Amino acid sequence: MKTVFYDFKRSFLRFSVILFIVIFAAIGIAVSYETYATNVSPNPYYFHDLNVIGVSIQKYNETEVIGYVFNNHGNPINNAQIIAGGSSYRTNASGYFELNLPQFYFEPIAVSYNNQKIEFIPLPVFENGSKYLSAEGVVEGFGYGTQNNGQNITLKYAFVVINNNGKGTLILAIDNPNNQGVYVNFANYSSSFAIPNTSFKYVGNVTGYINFYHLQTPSSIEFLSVQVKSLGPYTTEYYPDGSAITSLVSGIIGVIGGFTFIFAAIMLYLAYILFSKPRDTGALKFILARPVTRRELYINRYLGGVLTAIISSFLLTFLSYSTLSILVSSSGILLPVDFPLILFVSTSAALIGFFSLVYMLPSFIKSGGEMLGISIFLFLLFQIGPSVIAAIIAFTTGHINEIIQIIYGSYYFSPLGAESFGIYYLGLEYGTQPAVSSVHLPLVILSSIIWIAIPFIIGLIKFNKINI
Amino acid sequence: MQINSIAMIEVSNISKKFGNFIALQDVAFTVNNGELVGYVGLNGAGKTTTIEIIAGVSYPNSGDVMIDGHSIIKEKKEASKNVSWVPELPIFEQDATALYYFIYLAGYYGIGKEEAKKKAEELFSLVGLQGREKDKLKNYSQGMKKRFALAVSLISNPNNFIFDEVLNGLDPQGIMFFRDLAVKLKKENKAILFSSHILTEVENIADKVIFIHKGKIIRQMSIEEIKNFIRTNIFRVVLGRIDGKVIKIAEKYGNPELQGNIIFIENFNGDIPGLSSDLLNYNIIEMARVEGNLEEVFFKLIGEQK
Repeated sequence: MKTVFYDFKRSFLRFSVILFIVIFAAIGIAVSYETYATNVSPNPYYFHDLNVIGVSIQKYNETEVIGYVFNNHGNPINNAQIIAGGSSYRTNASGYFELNLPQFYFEPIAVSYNNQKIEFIPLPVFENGSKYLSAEGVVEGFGYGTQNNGQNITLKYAFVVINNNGKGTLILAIDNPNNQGVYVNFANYSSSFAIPNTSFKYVGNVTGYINFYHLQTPSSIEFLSVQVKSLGPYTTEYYPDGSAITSLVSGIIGVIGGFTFIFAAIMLYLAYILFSKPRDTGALKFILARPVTRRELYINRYLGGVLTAIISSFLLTFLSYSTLSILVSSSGILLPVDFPLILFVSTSAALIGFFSLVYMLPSFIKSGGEMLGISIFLFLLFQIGPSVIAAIIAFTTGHINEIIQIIYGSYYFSPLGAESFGIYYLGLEYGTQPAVSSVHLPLVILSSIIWIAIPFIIGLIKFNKINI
Repeated sequence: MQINSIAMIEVSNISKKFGNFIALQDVAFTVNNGELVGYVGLNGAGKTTTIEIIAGVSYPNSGDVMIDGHSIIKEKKEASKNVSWVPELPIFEQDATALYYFIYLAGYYGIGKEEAKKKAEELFSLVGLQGREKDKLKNYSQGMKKRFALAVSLISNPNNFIFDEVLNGLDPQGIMFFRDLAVKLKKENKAILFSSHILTEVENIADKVIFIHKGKIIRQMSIEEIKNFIRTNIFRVVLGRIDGKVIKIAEKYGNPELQGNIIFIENFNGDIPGLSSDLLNYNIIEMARVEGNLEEVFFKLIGEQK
């Protein structure tokens, strides 16, 4: 077996490493479940794969309810059961249903399909959708101008937006279809609510009670404004993957953050075990007497630690992701894979960066005790230091308003900064974090590479020259 | 077995400094195939420094070491395949079991797990560690660690061996084991460099002795040269009875000196029958030429250096 795998096995299969992986995996699963229990259990229909939108029209002696039942991808659900007033109805192959109920019927109507159930009250317009829908809204507004009989125009509509990888659909239920123009606008999440009319895009006219329009939907969180002329625009938040993901993701981010904090200390310990201690005790000499160059030995042991960081991060992030995915599988929508992927990459980068730094130390310091002391200092410095130093800079230079920018800027100067940037980008994507002007992806990547490569190269060059 | 004299370990003018301290200065010698060379010096003379450079563990500031024609500096891997080192105090990563660590180290020789296990079985048995394969190395005694280091050193069946003070701290059985092994390897035409403080052992098994003092090689002598060097012209007679005339009698044969009941005759003229005849009445218990040993040679050489 290649020696590098032995070095990996000897680093990975340590009691401390396994213990922490097991602890964090358990925490990951527990938090996934807790996230599920907090967000999903109280409002299970938020996470169903079942949605309804429609209108109810009051007629002379009855209430006519027209609705459309669809899944989280916007596709019609055939044969969904509708129960109203003790009678059962079914949707047709196109997902539509039409009920004739007594006049002024405002009792809850149940929609069931595949062991999932939602309800709605047949108001003039209604919609009840899961939190996987990208946007939704109910507008009961008064328009500008008057009708021919001199009364104010009243217009009520409900809408949902489904994002299928940029090919979006706007489903609009309107109580008074009259060939009105429909417009939408997406605006940057951080910009103001004042949306200029000129940026609205025409998507079609209202042709019936339930209307479908194709949209180009963005992949980032934005503000969405929907306008049915001649009402004013209605603005809401647009989540490309639905707001459900945001609440689920934020719980996991906390676990991974804790993991990185603790596991950095494990990486420190691994650098001591793999390199510092053997150098200090002299065990490295016996290995160096084998057919191996110093460079190979240095790289082999380094890769042992790196693989441990990668596999530990992978196990934790994807275990949490898988657990949560299984728990919410009934929604029919997979949690976006970029969520564990970003966490995995950023966590690995942070752990490898810190490992590179502390692994470099034994090339300069023979004493294992001294190496450990300095490593612990660096651990504390980079875990706590950047935020504290940034805060001091902000206060002393009078740039308190820019403290967030300064803090994020300080992460470039920490090997563990990659983790903070990973959480930042996830937060940005899932709406828990506003954009920060000092974070630039090329710089994030560059700083991570530098923190990994430079200490590694310096340590290697030095190790090639020292007296062991 | 035919013994050829190709230099298998060739140390060429190596020098080594630690800061301002010169640990080795232009050290040069060769160890040929089928030759067992003793490497002798006081503590701190530079023996271990030399050996660690030959083993590829340490770099010289200048000079080079060729192992079977491969430079330990420029062709480290090839050279290291052909030389094995058993250090004075073998230090391993203590948390591993012996078998596991053996397999790990065998990996550096390109030997796979299964093959390494087979080799371990054979070599652990050879060095007397059978049944202790699964013990953690931290539970091994010093002697066992040396045996383990030896087992590792035999993985690649190399042509060259360096034993650095391997006899230190061993029980008589351990000393005999390593001494016999060194002789056996020599008979197999291997080149062996053997450093030891136990000079009688070196004297008994070495073909050649290299003396190092304060980082410099002060002398290289074959065992015949050493024997000639230590041969003295002092004759020693142990008598059962002494009186005032005995010195007078002995003066005919050289320059006598009486110590108790022993007469030491310097510049002995060699007439043993005459001497024994003259001292017949003094009840001769023992008489023989006084011989020196390697230790005396060593200290004499050091004295010359001073």
